[in-house]
Amino acid sequence: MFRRWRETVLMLMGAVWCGLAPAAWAGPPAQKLPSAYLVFPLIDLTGGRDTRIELVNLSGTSQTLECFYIDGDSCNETGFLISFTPYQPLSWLASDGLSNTQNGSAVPPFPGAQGELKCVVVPALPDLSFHNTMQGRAIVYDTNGETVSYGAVAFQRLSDGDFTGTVALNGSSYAQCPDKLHFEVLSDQPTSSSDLVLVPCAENLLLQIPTTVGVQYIIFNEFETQYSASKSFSCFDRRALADITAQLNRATLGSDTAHIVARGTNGPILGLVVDRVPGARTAGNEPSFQGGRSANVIFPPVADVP
Amino acid sequence: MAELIRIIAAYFALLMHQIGSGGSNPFPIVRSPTPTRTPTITVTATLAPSRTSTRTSTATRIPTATPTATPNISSATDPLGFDVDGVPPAQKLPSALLIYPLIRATTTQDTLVEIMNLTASPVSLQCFYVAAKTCNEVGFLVTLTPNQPIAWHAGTGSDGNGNRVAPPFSGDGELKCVVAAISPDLSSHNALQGRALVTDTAGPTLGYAAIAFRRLSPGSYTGSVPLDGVTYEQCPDRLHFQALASKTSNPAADSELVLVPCTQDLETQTPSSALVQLATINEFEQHFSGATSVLCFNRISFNSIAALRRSSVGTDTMHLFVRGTDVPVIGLVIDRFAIPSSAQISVSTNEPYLEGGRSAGVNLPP
Repeated sequence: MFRRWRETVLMLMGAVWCGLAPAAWAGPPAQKLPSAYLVFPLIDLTGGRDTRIELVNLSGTSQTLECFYIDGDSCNETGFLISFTPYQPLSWLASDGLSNTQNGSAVPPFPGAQGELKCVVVPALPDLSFHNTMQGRAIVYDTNGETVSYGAVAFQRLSDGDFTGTVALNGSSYAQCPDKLHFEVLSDQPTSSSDLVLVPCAENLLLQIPTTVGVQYIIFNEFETQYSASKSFSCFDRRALADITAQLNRATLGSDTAHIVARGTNGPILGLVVDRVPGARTAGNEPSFQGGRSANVIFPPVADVP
Repeated sequence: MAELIRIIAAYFALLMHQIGSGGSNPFPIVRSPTPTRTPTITVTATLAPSRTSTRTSTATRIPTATPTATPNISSATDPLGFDVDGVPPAQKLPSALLIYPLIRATTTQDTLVEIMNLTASPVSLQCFYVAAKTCNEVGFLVTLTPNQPIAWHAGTGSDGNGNRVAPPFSGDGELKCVVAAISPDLSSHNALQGRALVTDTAGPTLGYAAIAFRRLSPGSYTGSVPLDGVTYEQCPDRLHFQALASKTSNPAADSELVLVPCTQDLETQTPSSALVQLATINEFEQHFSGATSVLCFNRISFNSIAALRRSSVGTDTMHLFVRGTDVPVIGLVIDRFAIPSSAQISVSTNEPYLEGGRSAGVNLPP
């Protein structure tokens, strides 16, 4: 009798524990909200282009950011610190950098032709409200007027804690990386071919180990016909849609638009599409997110955490 | 000892009853319209069994009701003078209501409207253009097959193969599309994402993502979309833009602010109007303020508002706060600036960051 009661009680305790235990939020990162970690997947200085990088402090307290450029060719990083006064907006050209003697911020020029930028909030206090304070965007423009603007992919901090140099995108410390990226793109035409830019979500900048990712693509046209393709890359990838598969050609696809689902096989990915419209016009095309997958980003120490 | 065991058993029975009283799902969806500074360790709808089958092996397609860990950005000196409350709509996730704040179709300009079904089930949409000039609506239905992308030119209403998808539209205005779910499950509601490309035969292309709202609780679609943080996500309380201050009065080179009210009664065709507070902060933390208004749609050049001019603000970039006083507003900025060492003007869209939440409602005709 006593044993049966004991088993019943243990089962009940187990059921209750399962129901009440803290559950991590397994899901994609919500965008356009005050956040703690920003990824700019495209900094472009090729062929006369330049990139204006914009960051804004959405909080009423001063903020410090650790930022890292990553050169898309060498996969090497260049780190720097930026300080913000309450609500301060700040922008600079990637070709020029920034030197602000008032708040001690110094941004070097981008050390390559194209690549990415990652910035993380180094909070003064471990409270969430000191982490989730920033947003950012970038404008890539050419002297011929072609412009691509996009919002940085943003991750919220989900629990209190100090910044340690490791950004655990695990749905518990920070929001997870998206499992899949969904793009609605214009199909390839003889006069216009869009580009897909991808970067890995996980990165070890402390040991400078480039992350290599295989990418699966599933493509749907407007008639629900499905195609697939795969590619791989290290640390940064920019390729024309036609270089993914010939099925994205308008004549083959049969419709003006395609739904591309991109998924990293051995790690989550982030990215955007540079839409090219006939007439040499461009626009940024940010993905929609589906699902979540964990990843770690490890930064080298740039300064003592306050 | 037996007495102790009976007490423990009764205690756990009570706990189990409380958990079970929320329905068959032991993981109730958290729908807090009030954000909290504590991490929202949210039990999301993804943990609940879903009736929707997908072709992929992932179980993570999200009709999540997660308000996320959005903190209040509290400050004793809020630039707009209002405490921020509520939870803004999370973007870039499969959603139930899409709002395109800028649709333009003229002799030289057109808008390619794109909608993507992110689910493996068919989806029906009720869509409404709202013309800026008259505030009148034009409604139509769109059906998407599983995973289907669809796109049409607003000026003709046709896709690239000449098939009519929507009625032709002319002038400026907005587009609202809501999922008319075939079943009350959340997964049937939260199925869409969308964007638009505003093209010009002789000018630049503007691309932007529709502002999306997720359904938060299961239920049938009734034609009323309460953006209350319980049924659907709330409207954002305020919009934040990082924008370039206006340096010119030439409309072709000046940035613009496009606003539409979040609340709209398209059934009785009652236009919504809103007074709009503006606040700007320059790179030196100096504050400026301004105001404007919106009646169903407004497109305002930066130079027409003193607080948005470079000569007033004193720095190239500024942090712009936008808040509707009567009803919440949503919108976007069209950035324009002269490219250094070039005669060209750079033109691009600038989508807002969202803070706080305020309830609103959209009533659609049947």
